[in-house]
Amino acid sequence: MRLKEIFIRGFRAFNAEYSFQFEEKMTLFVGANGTGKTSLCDAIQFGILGKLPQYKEIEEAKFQDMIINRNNSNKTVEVSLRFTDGSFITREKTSTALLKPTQEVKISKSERVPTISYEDFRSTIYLRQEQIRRFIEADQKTKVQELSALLGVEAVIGVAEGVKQFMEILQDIIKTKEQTFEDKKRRAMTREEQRKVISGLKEKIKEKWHLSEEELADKITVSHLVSVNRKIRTTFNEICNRLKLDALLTEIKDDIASVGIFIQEFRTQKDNVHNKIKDCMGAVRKYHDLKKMLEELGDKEIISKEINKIQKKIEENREKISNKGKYAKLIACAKDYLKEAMLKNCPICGQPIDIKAILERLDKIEREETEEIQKLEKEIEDLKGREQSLQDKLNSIKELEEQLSKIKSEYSVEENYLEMETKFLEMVKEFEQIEDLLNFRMKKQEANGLTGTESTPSTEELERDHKELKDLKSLASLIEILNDELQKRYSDFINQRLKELDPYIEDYVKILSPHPRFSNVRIRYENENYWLKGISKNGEEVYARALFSTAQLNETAIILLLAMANSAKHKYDFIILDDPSQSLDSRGKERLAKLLAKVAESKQLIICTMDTEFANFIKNSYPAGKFYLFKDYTDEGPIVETWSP
Amino acid sequence: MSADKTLNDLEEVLLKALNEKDLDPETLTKCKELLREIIVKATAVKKEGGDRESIKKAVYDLLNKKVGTIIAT
Repeated sequence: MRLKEIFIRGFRAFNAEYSFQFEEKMTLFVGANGTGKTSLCDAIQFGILGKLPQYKEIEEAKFQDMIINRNNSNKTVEVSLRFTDGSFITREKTSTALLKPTQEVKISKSERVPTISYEDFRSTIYLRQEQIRRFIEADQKTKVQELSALLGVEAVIGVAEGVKQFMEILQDIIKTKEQTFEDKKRRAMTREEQRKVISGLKEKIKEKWHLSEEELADKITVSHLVSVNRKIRTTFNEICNRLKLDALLTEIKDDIASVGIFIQEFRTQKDNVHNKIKDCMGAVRKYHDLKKMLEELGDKEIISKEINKIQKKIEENREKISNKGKYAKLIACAKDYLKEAMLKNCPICGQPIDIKAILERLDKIEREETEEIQKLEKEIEDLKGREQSLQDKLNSIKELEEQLSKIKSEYSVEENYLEMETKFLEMVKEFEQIEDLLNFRMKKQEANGLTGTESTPSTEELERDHKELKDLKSLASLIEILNDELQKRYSDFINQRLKELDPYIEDYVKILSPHPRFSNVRIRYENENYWLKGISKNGEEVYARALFSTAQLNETAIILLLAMANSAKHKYDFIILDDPSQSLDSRGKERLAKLLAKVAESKQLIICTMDTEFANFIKNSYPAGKFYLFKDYTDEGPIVETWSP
Repeated sequence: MSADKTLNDLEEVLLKALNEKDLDPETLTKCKELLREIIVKATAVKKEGGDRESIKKAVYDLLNKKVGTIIAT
């Protein structure tokens, strides 16, 4: 059903009686700002819905002033719509009481007029000026909200976000409740059970440290623990000083808290200190062993003297050998002479000579000398061996002396480490005892505290808490299941809506916003945002951009509304566009006019605009339409004429 | 696409998803009941002109009230 005529009186910009006829396909209202174009669009909405929820942010009193013309003396507004199928609606409101934007003014007269929700009206019939402006001016989040509202899916997003946000909070609530419950359970241990624990602990300590009841009572006093603690600390410091270690234990005060701190620090340091003592003991043992070895090696000076003696003796022997060598040469010469000369008588005395006997005698002497030389050489060898052995000994002494010197410089070798270790182990034993006693004392205090200042929860209270926790977890598991499914599916749900619009969007985009690279364009919801996706000529889907440039936003809003209007199932077969060319350049306006001319083939269009350039394009694209001009504004309302370019 | 229809469509999608899950009958029934409550609440708020934020808050409050009831009893 299409609009045929509207009658307005006393409503917003129209104080006097006004009636406008609509052309079956396209009616255009042209006028400057403030001449009543939006009032006309709102009047159509008021006629059909009986309310104007888009102004719900405005106070009721101001809203009252807004819908009733300020010159309207009887404070009565009337809007009547007549449709092409003969049906009509009349809404009349006299200002006897304040009217809310969302409160419907009852139909006073109507005939076969179908009802429609505000959401459907907003999404499929009326694209308001403010709506387009919000697309252009708002931040990204608001733009997303506006698109969701236009698509009619903001409720879906609201539900998904509400459940998700609550799920996160509920998990924190459960965590806190669990902690509280565990705490109560701990406190719920009866005094008797505490006594049993304390008593068991007490017996263990008495047995371990061989203490009587009285001794234990004495030992767990603050003064005793502090005094033992101080003693341990003093001994510990003394040992550390003797070991040349820096012990950084804190100053002890006369309270149990400082004992606790000391215990913690001592526990981390005691093994290191004990290892150091053992290390020192090992070093000292080695020192004494080396010293004993040194003593066994003998006196260094005596050995040096001995070496000198040997070296002297070797020299003597070498000299003897040298002399004997000369003598042997002389004998050899004599022998050679005798053999060559072949003398029979002595050349001096003339007596006959027995050469053979002389040569035998010389041979004997030569042998004896050779033997003597060999003997001397062997003696030298022996002496050298001895010298080397003494030299080795001397070297060993030097080496040992060096090692001893090193140990002495690193460790206090005179220190009685054994005594120190005994003292240390005694101290550790005392420390362990103090640890046990302190632990016992703390448990006892804790037990006293529980049964004293803190109340013990009753079994009923615990059962109640347990049930509460169980119920909460049960509820959380249900919400978790729902939340999982919601988060997985709500985007798909929105996209399903968008997919239904794909054929219209594709069709309109080709006219309104043609793109050289893309054959088609899709709008999809992903990651809590709307994305413009281009479909390239080979069918590939690419992200053209996240929404949107200002002009694209304007275009997208119009395309979405037109697509939704065309896919709408209700009987109202018209679309109202209030100032749709905002932010479009001349080419954009021309393309929009062509698109609207195409849409006018299937839907009746009622367009308001202040833009005469755009109005011209409309006139060119669809000359058969009806064109009104809101020329000037008077107290009674706009001066209306027929518009021509 | 009225609020009723949109939210009812959403409910239908979720009911289908829940039925396909391997849930025990009691949990399934409770999930469906909770979903119905959420949808009814969101629809009511939407009908009063509530936007996304109001619906989000209403759903949150509904669930919060359920927790409050558990704690109070």
